[in-house]
Amino acid sequence: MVNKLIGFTEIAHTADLALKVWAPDIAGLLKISARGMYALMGVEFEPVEEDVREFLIVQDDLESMLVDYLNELLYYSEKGIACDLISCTVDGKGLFVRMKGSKLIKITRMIKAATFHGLAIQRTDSGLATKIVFDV
Amino acid sequence: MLSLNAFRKITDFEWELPKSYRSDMRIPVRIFTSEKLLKLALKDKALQQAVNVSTLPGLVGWVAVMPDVHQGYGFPIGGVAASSMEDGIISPGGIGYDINCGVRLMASHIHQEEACELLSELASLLNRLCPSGVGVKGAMKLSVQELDAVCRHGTAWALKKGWATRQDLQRTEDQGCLAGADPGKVSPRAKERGRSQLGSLGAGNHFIEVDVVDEVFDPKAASIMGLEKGCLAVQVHTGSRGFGHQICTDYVRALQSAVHKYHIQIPDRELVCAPIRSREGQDYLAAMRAAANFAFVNRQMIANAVREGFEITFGGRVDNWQLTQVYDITHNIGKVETHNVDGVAYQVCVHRKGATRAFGPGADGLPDAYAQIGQPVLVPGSMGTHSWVLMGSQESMARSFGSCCHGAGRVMSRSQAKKKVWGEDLKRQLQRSGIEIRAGSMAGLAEEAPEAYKDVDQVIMSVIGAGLASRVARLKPLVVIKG
Repeated sequence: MVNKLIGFTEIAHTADLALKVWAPDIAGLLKISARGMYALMGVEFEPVEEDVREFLIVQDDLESMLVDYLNELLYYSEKGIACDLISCTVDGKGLFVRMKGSKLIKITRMIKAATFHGLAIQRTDSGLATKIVFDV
Repeated sequence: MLSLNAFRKITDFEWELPKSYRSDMRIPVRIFTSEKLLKLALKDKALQQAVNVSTLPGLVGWVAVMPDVHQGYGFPIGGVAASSMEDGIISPGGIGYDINCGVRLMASHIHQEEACELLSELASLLNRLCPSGVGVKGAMKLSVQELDAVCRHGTAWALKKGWATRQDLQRTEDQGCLAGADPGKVSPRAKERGRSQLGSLGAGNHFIEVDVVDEVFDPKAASIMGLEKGCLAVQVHTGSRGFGHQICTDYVRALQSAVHKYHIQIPDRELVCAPIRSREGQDYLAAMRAAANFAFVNRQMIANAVREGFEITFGGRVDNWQLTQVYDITHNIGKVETHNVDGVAYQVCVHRKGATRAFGPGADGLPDAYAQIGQPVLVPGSMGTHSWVLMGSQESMARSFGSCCHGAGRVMSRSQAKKKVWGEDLKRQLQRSGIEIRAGSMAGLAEEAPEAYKDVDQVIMSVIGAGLASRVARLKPLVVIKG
C-alpha cells in the first residue's frame, strides 16, 4: 500500500534517474530521499554497531541542503558506507545531521550526483514533496 | 510542448527553432538531424532543455544540437553552446559531472581470423587487467603531489613515467593536456577520490570494446589512421571518475550564489554559471581542466592494460600484435576556441555536453598526421551494434562550432529498458551473435540494451547529411567489457 505521508517512487527519465519523494517535514524528506537513492543504486548493507556520523550542511535554501545531503551520502557510499538519518536539527549555522553508518556490501548501479535539475521542494497539504534527478 | 511545426527546415538535416519561440531565448537552437530523428527527439524534454540553454547570457550564434540528443539535466546530452570569452559564461552543467568523458581508439594489424580462437581468453584477461565496476579503484594510489602533476601535465605525465608513447600523446585531443589546469582549485575531497581511481573504467555506459574493422569507406583516411579492414581495433570509453564528479558537484554548488552575485537569470538551477572572466568562472575553468587532464591519463592507463592483455594473448602467436593509437577524443568538455559566426571571428568557450569535436582539414591543434584530412571523430554505437570512425569537416567548423555527435543517444529510460530486457537473455543473445561479454552487473547490462538507444547508423546518416563529418570506417564488436 502506498504511504501517503512519506514515500518515494521512480519516475521516467531518458538518460538518467529520477525520483518523486514526499514526507511530512524536512527530516523525513532527507530520510526518504536517501532511501530512494539507495534503492536506485541497489544498495545492500549490514548494520555496524555504534557507527554514528555527524556533519553540518551549511544553511541555505531547502533544495541546496537536500542536494548537499544526498551528495554527501554518495561520497560515503564510495567509501563503502551506507547511512541512515538519525536526526537533523537546524541552528544558525545550518542543518546538523546525525546518521548511523552501515557497511555497504553491494551496489549495482553508480550514481554520480544528485542534481538541481528541475528541483523545487513544494509544500503540500501533508508536508513536502519534490522530484530529484540523479546523474548516472 | 514543442512540436515539429515550431521548427524551420533549413535542409533535410538542419532545422532551426527561432528565438521567437520563447521570449527569454537570446539565440536560436539548430538541430542537425533527419526529420525522423527530430520527431524522436521531441518525445522527451531534450529540446526544451536546449531552449533553456539558449537563454544564457553571452552565447554566440546558436545552440547546436546533435542527432543523438536526449534529455539530460540542465543541458541536453548532445548539446553544444559557444560562450563569448568577452561577456559570456561558463556552466559546469554544460560540461557534465563526468568531465572529459571520452573515447580512445587503438588499431592493430591482427586479422580477425587469427584472433577468433583467442577472443574468449582475451575478454577474460582484459576484464581482469582493467578494473571496472561501481566504486572500483585503480591499480595504484597516487600521492597528492603525483595527482597534482597528473592534473597539470595530463598525458605528458604518463609519457615521463614510461606509460605512454610519443605517438599516444600526439594522437590525443590537445595532446592529452589542457593548459591552465590548476589543482589548487580542486577540493581536498575530489583529490581524495581521485588518488585511488586512476586506471579504472567505472560503471554505467563505460566500456572496453574489441572490434573488427568491418568496412572501410575512405581507404586513404583509414590508412593514415592505421585502420585496416578485417583487423582488430579497441575502444576505451571512460572519463574522470569520482575526481571529475566531485569537481562538478563542488562547482555546481559554489556557483549557485554566483548567479545571484552577477544577476544572471537562469530557467533551471542546474544551468548555474558564472561570467567566464570572473574569479568564480576562472576557478571552475582551472579545476575542470585538471579533471580533463586526469581523464586523459585515466584512458591512457587503461590503454596500457589493454596493450598488456594483447601482448599476453597474442604475443608469440600472432605477428605484429601491437596496438597503435588512432585518436583520443573528449565528448564532455569546455574548450576555448575561435569560431566564425556570420563572418565575425569570436573567441569562445565551446561547451560540448555529449558532443565530439570534429575539426576539419587545416584546423589548428590537429596532429601532423591528420592536418590534411581532419580529425578522427569516434562514435561508439550501443552495445552489440556498429561503432563509427568519422572525419571532421570544414562544414562542421561553419555550422556546429566544429562539433559532431558522440553516440547513438538513448530513447528509452533505464527502468523501461530493464522491464523489456533481461540482462541474462541479452548476454546470451549477444554471445550467440559472436560477441564475448564480460559484465559486472546483469541489471546494468539490461539498461544498456541496444533497444534503449537510437539506431546509430541513422545518427551517422544525419551528421553525414548535414555535412558535419564524413565516413572513414565502421567497427563491429567482438568483445565487450562493462563495469
